[in-house]
Amino acid sequence: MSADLALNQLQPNMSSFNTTVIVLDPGGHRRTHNGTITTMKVADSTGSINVSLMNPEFTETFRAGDILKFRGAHTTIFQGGLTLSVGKNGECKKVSEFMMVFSETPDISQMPLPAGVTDRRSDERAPRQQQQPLGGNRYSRP
Amino acid sequence: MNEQFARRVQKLMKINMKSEVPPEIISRLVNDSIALDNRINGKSDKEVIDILILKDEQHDSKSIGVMFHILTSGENVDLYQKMVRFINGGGVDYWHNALCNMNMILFECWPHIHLACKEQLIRLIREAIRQNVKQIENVLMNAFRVANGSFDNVSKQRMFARLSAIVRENDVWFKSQRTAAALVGSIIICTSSVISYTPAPITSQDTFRESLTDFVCWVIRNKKMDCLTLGRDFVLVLIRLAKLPQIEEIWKDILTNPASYGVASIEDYWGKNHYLQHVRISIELERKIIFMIHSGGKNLLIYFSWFANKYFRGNDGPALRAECVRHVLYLQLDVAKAPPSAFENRIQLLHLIVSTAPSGPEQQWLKLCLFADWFGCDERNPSNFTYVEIPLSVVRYALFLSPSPPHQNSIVQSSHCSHFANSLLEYLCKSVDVLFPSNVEYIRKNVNNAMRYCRDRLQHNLAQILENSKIDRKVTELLRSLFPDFVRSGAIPIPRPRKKPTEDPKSVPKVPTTSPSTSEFSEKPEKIDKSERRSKSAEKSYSLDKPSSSKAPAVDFEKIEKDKKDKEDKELNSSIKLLRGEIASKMETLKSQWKDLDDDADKCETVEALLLHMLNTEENFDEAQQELAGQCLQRIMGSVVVDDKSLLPENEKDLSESFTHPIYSFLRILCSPPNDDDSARDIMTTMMAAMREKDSSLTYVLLYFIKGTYGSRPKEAIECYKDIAKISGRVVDEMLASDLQLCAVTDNRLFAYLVPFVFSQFEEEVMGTPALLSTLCANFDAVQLRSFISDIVR
Repeated sequence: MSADLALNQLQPNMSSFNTTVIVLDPGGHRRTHNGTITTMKVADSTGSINVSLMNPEFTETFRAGDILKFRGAHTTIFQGGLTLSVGKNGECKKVSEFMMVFSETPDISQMPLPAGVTDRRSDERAPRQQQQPLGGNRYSRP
Repeated sequence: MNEQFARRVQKLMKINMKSEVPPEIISRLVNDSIALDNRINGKSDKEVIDILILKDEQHDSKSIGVMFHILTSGENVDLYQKMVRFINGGGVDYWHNALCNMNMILFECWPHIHLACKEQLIRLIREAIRQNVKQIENVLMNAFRVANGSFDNVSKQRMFARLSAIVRENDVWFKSQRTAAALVGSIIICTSSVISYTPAPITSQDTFRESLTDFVCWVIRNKKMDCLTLGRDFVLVLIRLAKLPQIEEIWKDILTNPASYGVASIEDYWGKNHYLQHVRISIELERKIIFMIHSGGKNLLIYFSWFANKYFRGNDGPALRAECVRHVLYLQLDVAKAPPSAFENRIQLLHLIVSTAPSGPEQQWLKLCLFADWFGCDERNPSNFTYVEIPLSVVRYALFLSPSPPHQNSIVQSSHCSHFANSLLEYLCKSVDVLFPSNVEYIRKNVNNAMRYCRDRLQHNLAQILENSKIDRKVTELLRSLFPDFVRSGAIPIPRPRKKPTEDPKSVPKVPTTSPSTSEFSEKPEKIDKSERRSKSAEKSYSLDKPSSSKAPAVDFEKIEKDKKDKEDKELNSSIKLLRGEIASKMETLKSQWKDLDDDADKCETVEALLLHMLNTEENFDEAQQELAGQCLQRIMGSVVVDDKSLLPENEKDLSESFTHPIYSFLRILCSPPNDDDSARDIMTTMMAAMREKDSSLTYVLLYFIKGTYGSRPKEAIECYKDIAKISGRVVDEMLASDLQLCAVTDNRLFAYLVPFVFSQFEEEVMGTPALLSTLCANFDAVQLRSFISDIVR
């Protein structure tokens, strides 16, 4: 089993990694034609990030302070920010609560994306805009 | 996942296996039960007992498996009885194993398991008491403790009803317990907590509160001597439930027959600590509290909001808060193991618990819980002094807390400010006369004992609290009447004769309405007696003990100076003694070397070395220590502001030789801490705020330093100034006005130099600030004022 990744190690387009986080804001559910999407704000000791749980079978609501273990998670770009996503093949389970040290800053979803990484959905909306190649793909921070 | 495993987990707790991993201890119970079943299936009872008592590698595992069956056999009486038969068959040793497992369930599983499982555990406790199993009283004590911590009120009531029934039906066993002080303490504290929030019955069938009250009284009457272990917490229980007729009887009994309780009078309870505070709240609460204190850090408010959401929202919230206050007060923090921030976190947590409680009787009760150790601070028992500093630290914390912007995740919003500190002090003063009316003098003496101890510990910091400008006049009057030895009379405090007034008397402003402190004269030039400003001779008329006045007799200025210097030396020495570890020795060395150091460069180097040591130390350098260190440094370095000499050089454009005083080394590290470290910046800011308490000219010197050093990019350094204002409990514009006013009086050239800088760098703060405008108008001459107004008009 692979070790947990810290949130500040996340880069765009990573897949199948595990991480343990604490829920800061349980957010809410959103129904789509594919099922339910749950959005949350989570954090670990290295920062915080937005999460999308995209599992149609998954309707559980977590509470602020719940400690969650994500398995098979991946990163996406959503609304111009890095987002941690867990899809059908991933797993999200509450393992404990409260007792985890976290830091709200930096908010990784609010940080500027590295050069060359763009939000695919916004690109689809503006097809004429020329896409930049994913040069290096390193998720750098200021 | 194994279906059998999942099914058994569900038997123990409500869980959605798709979204939740069962707690480790629950998994262990289930796995051990499966392993046990595999070994004993199809075996006779005798064979099973042989397997259970066999001390092989699975010995513990087998006993945990038995415990699983006990917990889940609520609807299967045969299974339960079979398991009890197995335990009995194992003899005394096996019962001991079972007791350990029962404690484990209480400590680790209680918050998770079904109510039916909890009832099964209580059933087993009952069985053990019936069989008079040795040490079952410890398990019973823990059961009371964890039952009180449950946030589910229904299950809490059921648990207490069952537990009290068990004790009542085994009264012979209970009365025969000779070393049961902890059990008695736990029963009285936990049960009275439940009674305190249980509403009065509406129907005749609702006998819960009545029966619990009878139970507590029965316990007290049967274990009178053990009540002494509770010390003043026993009096708190009696006060809390005083309105109930049964408790009134207990009061009468103690007053008429104190010897049967092992005391001479109720004072004996007041003057004694209760050392078993930890048995009053559940393990779950205790662990979370310890986590918040040790690791809360900057997120303490968020953790507390989660904590409060879970435990303090129900009917029992106020009662649980009170338990937590007493628990946190008595929490032993190991200096070697606890992080330095733990001590400050404890104060912050206490402040949050009390200040966020609904105002009214509940909050008043929490204040009593907070100050109970002051009321009982009888000097005959030295251990009483151990817990008196913390409540005053809470007052201090509240005084210097500035309202922060509400946090989105927090339920705690702007409910705590200096008015809370006022309310705490007011409560302390007003309670003295009503708490123990038959012996007011005893309580009055005790609170003065407590204050004396705090003064010895806090030294000059006590004045920062008791004579703080944020304390209301009526509270100051109350404090003055209660603590005549600690709060000075209404006289104007003594200034440091720093500067002969050079301005025209007409330019001296009147007292601004926003004037801050009442304690530190140096902070408020505006409060200096007008006569002092008007003539040099009047300035000399300040005495150490009397306010200045035109009628004050002429005194020997040199003698006053000498006395003052001696006093300052004495204070410096005692402050250094309060410092801990290597910092204390380095500070001592700095002090002794200071006069021998040749020039400012050497002094700067030495100060920098000491500061870097402080910033990198791994010792417990908490906020109180930081403040002490700051004030020691300030005293050693002295003031950079010299009489009759402007800080600004003749050539204002060449400031290269201006920043040579050691104080600028301090300011340099403050504005640009090594490695841009936030924690270093916090430490430096705290020290600076403490230094400013002693020498309020420091902050305008900081402004001068920022302007002279950082030029057009002073953003971070300006933030430092704002942080200092925040820590000093002031609004930035208020501090700017105060600084500029002082600067105008002591160094008018520098004042003119700083005004444009302040207006360009503090744009938001200076807009709409009457105090600042008043300062400007009072100190500008006609030409400057005309130019200023013209600029505004343009």
